[in-house]
Amino acid sequence: MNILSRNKVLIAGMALVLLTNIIVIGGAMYNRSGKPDAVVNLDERELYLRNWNEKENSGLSLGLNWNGYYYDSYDTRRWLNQDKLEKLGFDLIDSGDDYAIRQYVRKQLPRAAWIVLEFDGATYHNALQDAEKKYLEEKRLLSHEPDSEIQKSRLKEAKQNRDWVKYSASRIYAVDAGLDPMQLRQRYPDKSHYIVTAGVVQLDYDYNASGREKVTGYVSEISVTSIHVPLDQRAVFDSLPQRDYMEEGPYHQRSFHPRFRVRLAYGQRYEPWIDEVAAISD
Amino acid sequence: MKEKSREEAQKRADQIGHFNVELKALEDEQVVRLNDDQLTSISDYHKNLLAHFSEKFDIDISSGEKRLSFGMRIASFLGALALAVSVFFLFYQYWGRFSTVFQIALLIIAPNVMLFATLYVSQREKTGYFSKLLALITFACFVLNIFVLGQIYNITPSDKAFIVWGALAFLLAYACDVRLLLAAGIICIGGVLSARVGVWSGCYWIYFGNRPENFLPVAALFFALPFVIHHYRYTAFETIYRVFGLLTFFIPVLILSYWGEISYLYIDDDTIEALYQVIGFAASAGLIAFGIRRGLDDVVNTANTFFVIFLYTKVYDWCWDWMPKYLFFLLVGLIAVFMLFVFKRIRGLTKSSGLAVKA
Repeated sequence: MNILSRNKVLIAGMALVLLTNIIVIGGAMYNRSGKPDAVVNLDERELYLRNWNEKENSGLSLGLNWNGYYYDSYDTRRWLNQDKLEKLGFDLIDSGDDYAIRQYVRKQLPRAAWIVLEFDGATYHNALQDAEKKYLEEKRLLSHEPDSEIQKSRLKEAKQNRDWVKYSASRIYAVDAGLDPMQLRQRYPDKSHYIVTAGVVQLDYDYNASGREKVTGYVSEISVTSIHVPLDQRAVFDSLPQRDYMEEGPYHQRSFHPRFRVRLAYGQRYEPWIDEVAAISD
Repeated sequence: MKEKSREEAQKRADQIGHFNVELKALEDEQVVRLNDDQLTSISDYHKNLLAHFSEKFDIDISSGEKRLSFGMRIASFLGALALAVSVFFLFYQYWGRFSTVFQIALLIIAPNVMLFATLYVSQREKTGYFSKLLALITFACFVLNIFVLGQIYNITPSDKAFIVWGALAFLLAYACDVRLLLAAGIICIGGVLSARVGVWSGCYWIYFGNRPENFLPVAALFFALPFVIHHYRYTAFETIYRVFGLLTFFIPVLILSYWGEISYLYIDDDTIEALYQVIGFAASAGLIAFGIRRGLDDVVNTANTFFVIFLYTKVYDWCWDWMPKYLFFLLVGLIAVFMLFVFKRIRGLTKSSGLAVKA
């Protein structure tokens, strides 16, 4: 029971399918053409194995592990200030009325933005330094009260956190955001340590701040955090024994030694792909 | 013969059946008696008409056929859904073992082959059970195609995918008269239009659902469409447009009437909720009247359902906490009785004014 002409439908349908595929694949090819916008050498600390050996899915992908706002020990709010938020298009309120500010924050929906991700840079080293300092401080306090169980436990926790940040935690932090990716790239020209990619910024209300500073923001998501592993790059991952590791801290810190290194490239459309994979020998 | 679709032919065949039963009753009650020539002439005409409908549309002539057809429709619907889901699972089960080139080739070939099969079968089958089933699988293959390409190339998620999915759903729905795909097309295009409304007001597209008002322009569009473009040749397409239009209007209004803080409006939450409660009651009452006037039972029934939902949620809101339960349920029962009286009165008015309400 065909209402439209069969040939016309066939042509229109096939044209739609083929044209869509050409546009999608063409866009992906364009992304990978020319010199990549960024090439970073990450390891299992920043890229964790996803849907690995799942019964119903034979595909493999890596999850980009960045220090999102929940785990951001070096708070994003330090750089995502009022000026930056206004530049990103948020309409900020200048009021002394807390209720009005809260309502204003609630009403503003998340906005798309280009995010700069810093890999193994100053932000990570500051976080490591903080963790180290905290550990040394707890060690010093224990020396004053060597029999205190509470102090022992606090030192254990501080050491665990230091080790986690030092050996296993992700070294990627969001450090800037803007509406023009090229401007951001000019501001962060080091392509082996700074990635520019699409993400989302959201407003928040800081109860501890005062006045206008109560309105803050944070990077709520990075648009592409799942990176497909093609068949010809699977060998290293397939040879690894399964590991039941927790990929995110600091609340589930479990130190581990990275087992693979990945050269991740970002292209003309600021979308990633795996350029090279290598195993890390013990 | 003016019947151009299977639905119209089936309606006419049912009408013939009812006519024969009524004629027999009139003859038994000696109200009228047609002579043999007249009876033969009518009977021959109906026989030819039914034979033509049967040949062209494969309609159900007996009640037994009708019951079987209903069962086949359910089987076709469930089968189509299950097969569409199985396409996804089948691909994901094995895709990791294929090279990227093979994966992409498979993804592109599958919807094209299924499209060809759908149209091939639709030419050879009058009832459309198998072509509708294949049409849904074609749509599933195309959704899988674009979705997996996004995964393979790590592409930033975009609402534009819904435009092409919606376009194929509409094409197949209109080509093969598939209501399920029309609904899929409406959802895809409705989603992308609502997302655009959200983007225009500044938000990242994925969050468009956080402001239910984004759906209201789309609701108006889908509700108005069948009044501008008629779909006489398609089975219940106008109803689907209207019902989806009403759902995309009433559901956001219902949500906003109890959750004012997610509105775009920068006024007090209680005022927003009261405003949408009034809109909900007024719109559902107005649409019941509109549906009665235009003889649209789908509009009457949908608006009626939401009127009752608005009413009962309000009663719950006002009375549940403080009222003894026996009194609360008594009130609910009394409201139902009151509404029966109201509907009876409306029914009486429509009867006396000669307006036909099909419901």
